[in-house]
Amino acid sequence: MTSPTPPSSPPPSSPTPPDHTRARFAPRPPPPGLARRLAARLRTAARLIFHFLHPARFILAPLLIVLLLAGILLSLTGGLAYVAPFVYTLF
Amino acid sequence: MACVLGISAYYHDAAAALVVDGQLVAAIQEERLSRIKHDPGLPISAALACLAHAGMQPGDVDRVAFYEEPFAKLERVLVHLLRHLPRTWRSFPRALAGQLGRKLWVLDQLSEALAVPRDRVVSCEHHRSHAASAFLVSPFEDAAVLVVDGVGEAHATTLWHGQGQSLRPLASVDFPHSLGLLYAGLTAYLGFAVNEGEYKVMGLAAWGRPRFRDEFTKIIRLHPDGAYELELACFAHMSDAELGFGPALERLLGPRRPPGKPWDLADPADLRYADIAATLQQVLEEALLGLARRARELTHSQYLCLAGGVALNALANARLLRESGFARIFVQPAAGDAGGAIGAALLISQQLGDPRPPALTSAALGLAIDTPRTHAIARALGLPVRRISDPAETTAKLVAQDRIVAHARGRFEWGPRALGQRSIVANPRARATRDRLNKLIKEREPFRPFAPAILSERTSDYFAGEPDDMTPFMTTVAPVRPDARDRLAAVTHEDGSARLQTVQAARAPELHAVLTALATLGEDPIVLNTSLNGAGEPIVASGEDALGFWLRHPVDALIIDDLIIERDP
Repeated sequence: MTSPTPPSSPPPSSPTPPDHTRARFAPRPPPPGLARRLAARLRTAARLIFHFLHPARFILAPLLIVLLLAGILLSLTGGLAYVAPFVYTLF
Repeated sequence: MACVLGISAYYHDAAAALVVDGQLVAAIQEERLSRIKHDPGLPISAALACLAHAGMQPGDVDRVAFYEEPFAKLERVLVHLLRHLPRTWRSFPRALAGQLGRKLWVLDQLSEALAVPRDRVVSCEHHRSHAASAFLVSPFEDAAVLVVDGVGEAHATTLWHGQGQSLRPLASVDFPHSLGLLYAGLTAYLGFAVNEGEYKVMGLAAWGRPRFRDEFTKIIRLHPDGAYELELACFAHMSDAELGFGPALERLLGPRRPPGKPWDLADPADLRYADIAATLQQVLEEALLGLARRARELTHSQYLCLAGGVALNALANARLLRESGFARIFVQPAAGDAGGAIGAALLISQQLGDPRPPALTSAALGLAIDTPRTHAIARALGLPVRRISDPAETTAKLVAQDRIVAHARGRFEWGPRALGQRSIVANPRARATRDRLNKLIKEREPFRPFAPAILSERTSDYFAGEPDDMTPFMTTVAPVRPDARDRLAAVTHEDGSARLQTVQAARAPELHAVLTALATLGEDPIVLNTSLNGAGEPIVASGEDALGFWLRHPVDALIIDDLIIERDP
């Protein structure tokens, strides 16, 4: 063993079946715009780099930075479709 | 006083749990609403449903607590991938794409999807969330806590000491050594799907003899201090998360069982696989016993709380209670990853100054049925639906007539077990009932047992044991008394045990009323109780789901609150 490190419902007689969507739940909030999403991702990326700058982990930082850039790109574009042409050009 | 939403997601069994002023108000697995079995996606529907149940909006939430730390998890994945190169080169792109494409940003995604400011979204350590999910809703003020699962950020097994509101880590076993991944690897070897087929392996174990002990000593080494070590060459979770086991395991135990092949336990080849399952079960129990004894030495506590996916192994839990030296054991009904949502919410709630909640007495933490809406849909579909004045008595009469009843009443259950709110109930006497359920409705392997639900006060009339902290949530087994086996043929497993649920009025009032009505009719106060779902489906949640189940499966009657639909006998 190692040591740990420190309802709105229709009336019953309604002849029309109600919509099967789950209307009783609060509607999903609208997604924020691209700028806000990008800002949030950059803040998270900065926190992550800070996390990996700890002396015990800094060896992973260069690898992580490269991967992060790819990750942010994938996250923002929602998939490979927009990135693929650049990847093709590079390799 | 705070409102905290706990979230678990992005592995399997995503869930949301709502804690308001320290009280657990609602807890829902996303699969119940999305209708995707083991749905791992971000549980936004479940979160909004929890809030709606409490009459709240996302803006009312003080904190959203995610059940694991994304940075620590990424660190473990990176270190592991680099350390085991070149074995890991195949899984490198996929593992990193999963982390960097989705999991790393989960706190941002939660903030955006729930419209909660990002600074209110926090994370907790995976195993601490598990430990909190068991200890903080247990009836104990002082207890050892044992968390055993596949892997969290880095730990696969942890021991904790819970006292009052605090949880102190004592020891750990770290990835890649993992009892959860041992069980998962052997589950895959036996031809079942990982994260789905573990229950099947447990059921299969009763049919075999543990005659592969010598081989298993080469697969896992148990140390005297409770720690354990896997022979990593037998497993593939370091290099191929899909397969789970390596060629060395096949060299030791013979070729794997082909997935999807029908089981025939009269066939010596299948019986051999049952022997392997029995050996696995025995080895797992011994590993857990070692860990539990170590936990007792370290904490000197009388009580034990179990969490993590492995804590859903009812056979092992029963043996732990018999042999570990602990006087009482508590297992939260959703001990797997879903339970992390409760743990994370409670941890943050306590950080914000809220009190510890009372002990969990009921698993009915989901949504109630919208009966008028269900009635309207049933009528619009032309189903012969009618209202009844006493659903419990009606259900009891149908069960007494050997009819199979789908029973959906009250708020649905939290966790993988149907505990009477969304159950199929039937007479426990006839083996033919079990076969009919297995073949026509559940469409599952013939060796899998069904569980009984019994009036709590009558337990010792039928079982060699008394109700304990686990029996209300069906997380343990008990031997069926020899003189009761004929009367309980449909729910007695091959080894003479049953995964019983003891039912009290305060915990499961609807099912208690059915059992009481059965006793009044002069019948045994026991029903066969299995989950209200078909093969590959999540358990029914809403009235619409129940009607959909009725249309697809040949049960004899469907009771939804005070509505009934029957088929002609």
